[in-house]
Amino acid sequence: MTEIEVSGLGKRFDAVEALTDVSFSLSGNKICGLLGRNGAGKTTLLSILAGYERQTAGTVLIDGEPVFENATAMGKTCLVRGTGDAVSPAENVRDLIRYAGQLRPGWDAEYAATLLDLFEVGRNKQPKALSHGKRCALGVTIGLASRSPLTVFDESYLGLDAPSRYAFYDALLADVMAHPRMVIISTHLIEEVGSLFEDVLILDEGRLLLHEEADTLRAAGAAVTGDAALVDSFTLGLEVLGEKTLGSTKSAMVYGPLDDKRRAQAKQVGLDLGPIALQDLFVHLTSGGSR
Amino acid sequence: MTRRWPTMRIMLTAHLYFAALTCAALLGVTLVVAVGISVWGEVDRSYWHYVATQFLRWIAFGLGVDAISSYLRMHIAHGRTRRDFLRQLFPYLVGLSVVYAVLVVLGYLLERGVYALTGWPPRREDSPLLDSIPDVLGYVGPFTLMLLLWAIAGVLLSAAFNRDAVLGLVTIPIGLLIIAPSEFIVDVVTVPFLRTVVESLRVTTLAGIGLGLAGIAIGCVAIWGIVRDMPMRPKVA
Amino acid sequence: MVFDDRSPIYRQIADQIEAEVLSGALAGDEQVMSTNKYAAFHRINPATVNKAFQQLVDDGILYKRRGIGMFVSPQARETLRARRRKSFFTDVVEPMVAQARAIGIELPELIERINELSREGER
Repeated sequence: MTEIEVSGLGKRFDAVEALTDVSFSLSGNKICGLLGRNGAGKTTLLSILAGYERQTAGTVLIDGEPVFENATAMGKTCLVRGTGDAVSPAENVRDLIRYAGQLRPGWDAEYAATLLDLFEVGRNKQPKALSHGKRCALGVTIGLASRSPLTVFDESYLGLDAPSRYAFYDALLADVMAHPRMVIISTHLIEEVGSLFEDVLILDEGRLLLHEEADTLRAAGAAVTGDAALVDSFTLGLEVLGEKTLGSTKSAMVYGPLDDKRRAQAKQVGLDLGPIALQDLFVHLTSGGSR
Repeated sequence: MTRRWPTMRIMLTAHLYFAALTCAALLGVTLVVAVGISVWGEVDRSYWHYVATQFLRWIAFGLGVDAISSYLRMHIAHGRTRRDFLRQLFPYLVGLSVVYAVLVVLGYLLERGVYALTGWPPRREDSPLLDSIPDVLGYVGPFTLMLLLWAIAGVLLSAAFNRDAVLGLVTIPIGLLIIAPSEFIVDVVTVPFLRTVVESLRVTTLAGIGLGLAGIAIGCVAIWGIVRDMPMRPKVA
Repeated sequence: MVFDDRSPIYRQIADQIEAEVLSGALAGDEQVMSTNKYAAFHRINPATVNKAFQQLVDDGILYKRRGIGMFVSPQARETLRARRRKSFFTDVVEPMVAQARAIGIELPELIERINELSREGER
């Protein structure tokens, strides 16, 4: 059972505010998704969570202890960024895995070996001789085999090809069920991995936009389609994320719960109410110049 | 031991072989060079001496750089603190310096043995081949200190540049200060110009050692200051 | 069965199991796949599966036998049919009538066609 408590977190790089006033708590053993556009601050947030960087404002606690340079807190975390910081270019895979075993108390060497075979990563090669995909696989292996109470994959599996990605999802699920831990996955491949998430956090331009249960989020939006004028009058007062018009038909994406009264009203007037995919919700909730 | 000193153990096992092989290879090359020189001229001094005093220091420097650039990141990535790394780093550097110093001395002894067989007499007064064997064995101390200073300088510069280019530039003079005593420590000064400097400054070996230890202290403090909260930016994959 | 991202997944899981009960694919007192197996098979978060199963237990469709697993209630099919019967008219009939009217089919025509189907069914 891991408890993460982030409060008023801020990070400034020279003149740039990468993170502003981020607060949330996560507790238990679950798989959480951290979504955000490129540059939203995901890597910065995760780096601070793992003690790779120090925040410029606010606090971050793991099981009640501040993280930076705290042996207990940092020892519970395994962050895999990109192709992996634990992957040193000059050693070969076999040695790197052995080092991991020497440095991490909870390391499962057999499991690591199984994963390396699964992803077909050659033991004798040096990481620089591996393809990008295989290097990612190595990073992901280290993350999984670490069995760290808090394991974080920062877009680390994105370099894997599709079959390997699905192998990773299956391995992750199976391992989390057998050895419960808190897992945070930062990604932009939401459609593929969205069904694994229990909680979803969305970062936008350095701020936390929302923190919600994945299923609640899936029910949080609706696409209202029908005659343009009717749609407009229906969506008055509601938060509209985006609209599409074709001729006299309009489809508006609305965010926020629609109670039964509203739903009945829509049906009466002949408007069609449909769900919005998590991916679309994400695209429309976060900035990107389209607002 | 594994729990308390894993990083040190990793760095040692990664580099001990390298140390032995490098020194063996260098000694081999040195002797080949000596043979070559004997064909055209006279072999009147120890050539291993150049390698030992001038060349190996750069290897020590490189090992210091490598400790930061390769191992610090991996250490932190596996959930350990920077403080923990620094704690293990110093014994590692000392240990490695001792190992190299011992290999250096072995090199001197082997060279001496070869010269005895081939009958090449050392004529120059400052050649270590003229020193007695106990004296040669005593080289381990000074060489350890010299190599340690260069390794510390390597760590310092590497950590500083890693953090910030300007900081890196600022530490260059500090690095130079740290390695400067090595000229006085290794009592056998080879570069004639520097010998003049040494003699004019009347720096004795003892003072040199004192300066060296001060250099170690300064280096360690500076390294600690830079590394203790060093950010780990994502690697450019 | 692929679960889409457009509505709560636990609801989709519950619907799928209900459909299997209604169609007879899952019989009364038959054991349902365990949460973990289900999650692994469909690549979904096990907590979500748990939520779905819990919902079905609350609705009386499934019951739990400690240490063994989840089973279909013997009366599950009947419960579902009754529930569907209740909402059939609001969910199916009324929209059908509205749609028929919208395209110009009058009620008597609709009723005639239904009677026809009933006669064909009897034969």
